[in-house]
Amino acid sequence: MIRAVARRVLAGIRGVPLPLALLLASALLLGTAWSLVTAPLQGFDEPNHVAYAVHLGQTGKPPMVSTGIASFDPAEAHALNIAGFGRMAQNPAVRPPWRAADERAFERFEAGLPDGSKARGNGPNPLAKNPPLYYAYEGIVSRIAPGGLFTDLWAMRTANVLLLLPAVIFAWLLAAELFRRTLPRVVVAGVVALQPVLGQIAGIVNSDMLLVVAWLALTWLGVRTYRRGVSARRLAAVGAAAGACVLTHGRGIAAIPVFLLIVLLVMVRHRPPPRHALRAAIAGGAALAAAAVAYLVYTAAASNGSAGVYGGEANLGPTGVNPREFLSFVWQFYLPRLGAMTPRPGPDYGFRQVWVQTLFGSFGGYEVNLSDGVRDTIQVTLVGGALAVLAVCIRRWEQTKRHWGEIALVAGPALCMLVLLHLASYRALAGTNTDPLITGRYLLPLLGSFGVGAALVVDSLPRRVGAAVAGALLTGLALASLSGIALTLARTYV
Amino acid sequence: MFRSRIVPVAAVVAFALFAVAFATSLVPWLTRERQSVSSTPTTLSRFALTDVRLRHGAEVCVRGVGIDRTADGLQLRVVDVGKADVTPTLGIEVRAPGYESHTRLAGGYPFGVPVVVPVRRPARDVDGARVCVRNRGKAIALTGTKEPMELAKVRVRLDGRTIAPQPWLTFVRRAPISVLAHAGEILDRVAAFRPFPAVPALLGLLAALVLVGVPIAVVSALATAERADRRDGAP
Repeated sequence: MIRAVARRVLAGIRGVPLPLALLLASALLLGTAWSLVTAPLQGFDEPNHVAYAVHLGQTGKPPMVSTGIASFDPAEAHALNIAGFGRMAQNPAVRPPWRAADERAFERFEAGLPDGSKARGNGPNPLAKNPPLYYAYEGIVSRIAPGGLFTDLWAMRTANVLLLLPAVIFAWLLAAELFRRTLPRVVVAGVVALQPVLGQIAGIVNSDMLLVVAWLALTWLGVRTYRRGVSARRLAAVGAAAGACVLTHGRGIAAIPVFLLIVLLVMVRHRPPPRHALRAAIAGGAALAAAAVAYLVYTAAASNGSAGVYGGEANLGPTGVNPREFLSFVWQFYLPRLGAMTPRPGPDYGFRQVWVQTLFGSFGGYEVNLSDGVRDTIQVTLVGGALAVLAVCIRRWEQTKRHWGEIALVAGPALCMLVLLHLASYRALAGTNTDPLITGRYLLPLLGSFGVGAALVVDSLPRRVGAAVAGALLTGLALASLSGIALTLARTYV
Repeated sequence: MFRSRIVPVAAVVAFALFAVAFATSLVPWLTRERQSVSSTPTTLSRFALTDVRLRHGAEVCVRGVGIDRTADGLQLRVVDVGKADVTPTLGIEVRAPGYESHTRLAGGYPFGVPVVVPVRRPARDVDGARVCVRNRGKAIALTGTKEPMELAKVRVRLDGRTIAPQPWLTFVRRAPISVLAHAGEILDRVAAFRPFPAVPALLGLLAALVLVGVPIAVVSALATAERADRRDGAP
């Protein structure tokens, strides 16, 4: 029995294409390096993510959003406020404690804590409005990790790095549905495996990582179902992936229109018999609804003040939407303001800050940055890449028409997420908020779509030129990752 | 790796770019000498700087300071409060059980710029040190902070009275040093507050693996993909 299982596992591993295996190894190495050069509790909002996961792991309940006795359990509070990890957040002039005496002092403090103290961080925690799937995953890890806070943190970060594996695999599978050649598949999976900010997010404790995984799964399953045909099992898988997005993060709510788009396009293409179509749609809807029910049960069972709240971007306040104003707002995010437009509310914040700086070139708490020259190169590559994708679609119009469904299923999810993000930003800035609420890492779930765009260009160019572009693109991403890791190491430990 | 006669263009481009980047960026980055921080007992504020004013003869002392064994300089910043034409002479004293360092910083150094004062390098890490700065000239201020989020767990006294603002102090290694030259020390620092297997030796191995392994993996993935495409007769 064990031998048979081992044989199947080995056969499965041997079946992994070599380029994919190499990209998985690269992703793991980079993610692990990020987890080590980023000082403990220094990732984006990492203290609050850790507090949520540890509290959920200890009590089975989320912390509270705006009430509670302590935001952090005593060990984490001590690490932040006494040991000195708190005051280094976003401050490149401050280093973490690293002397043996500092470590011993912390261990003495932790050893003196009474049993059950890990469960004391019950709020206020602003991230408690996030749905629980990621925190359940990390909560279990923290629960079974033997030791104190820093052992938990190390285990949780390692568990997060491991999420890079399904992310890269889903990107590969998505590409395998769309491209016959291996090189474009390497491009799509490589964009996910080597992207620097995704590597950093994988190296810390942050729910964005699981959203990336679930979103990539949803995009792949959508394209796969569209190409292979309607079945209850396939649409249930799509619904489950959409449900995983919804259960992972507030931004995951954009998966609901993606799910509807997939169902619509699949039905339009395959036109199954009504009973078959109904059965499949119900299976997909039920899987998605199960996620909503799970969330309601979870918040009801928690009954500690966080019930009824659903994460971040889904709670936008009372500001209404003026469609014309919104379009003008989005235009000015990407392009210069035209004469008739009213100035965009909020800070001078747009394409460059989100798509270039914070999606590719800023690390730590945005205090570690790639040089302006590198950022300019990234900007030119992004704009050039977008224009190239457009040019390929126009130049190969017949193919574009033939594959409009696949194109819609790759571009659609990206568009749904972008609309949600811009809408959230618009509604926040049109109200009293001055925070644009949108940053580069929020675009990470779209890496699969970006990768497909890049692979489309590579696949359309003459063989040698396409290969050169693929080589340059993946090397550029790997070098950006290595630079980010080196700069973060220098900022933190030199 | 390159058995076929046809050149794997993607892999060659990747290899060339990695080689150029390593030669022009990584090697200089590893070997360039730079100032190394030993410890940061208090904070240089990123929100709002607060002046810790020192009139003539006044002394500010920071207690409960930890000093790393690599430290031989103390960085601080003197700002003008409109009383002195030139920066004054400062007396700097660092004391802890088994450790003592006295330095006189002659006036004339620039206002508003971090200045590094030599201190005696401790034989081993020092705990619970008291760092005192005495102003021997006209009134000036030390850059400090009183932002609650930025305050360190030290106690500050000005002429014997406890005060809330903390002057910015950073211990440094005075002689610039390259990342490569103190790689072992950096690995020790990374390993702090991390459980096994994050020990310096394994971290060093991982660093080498990342620097060498990732480029090899990327180049190999591209080469393998191109070879597979040719084998399958893809256009």
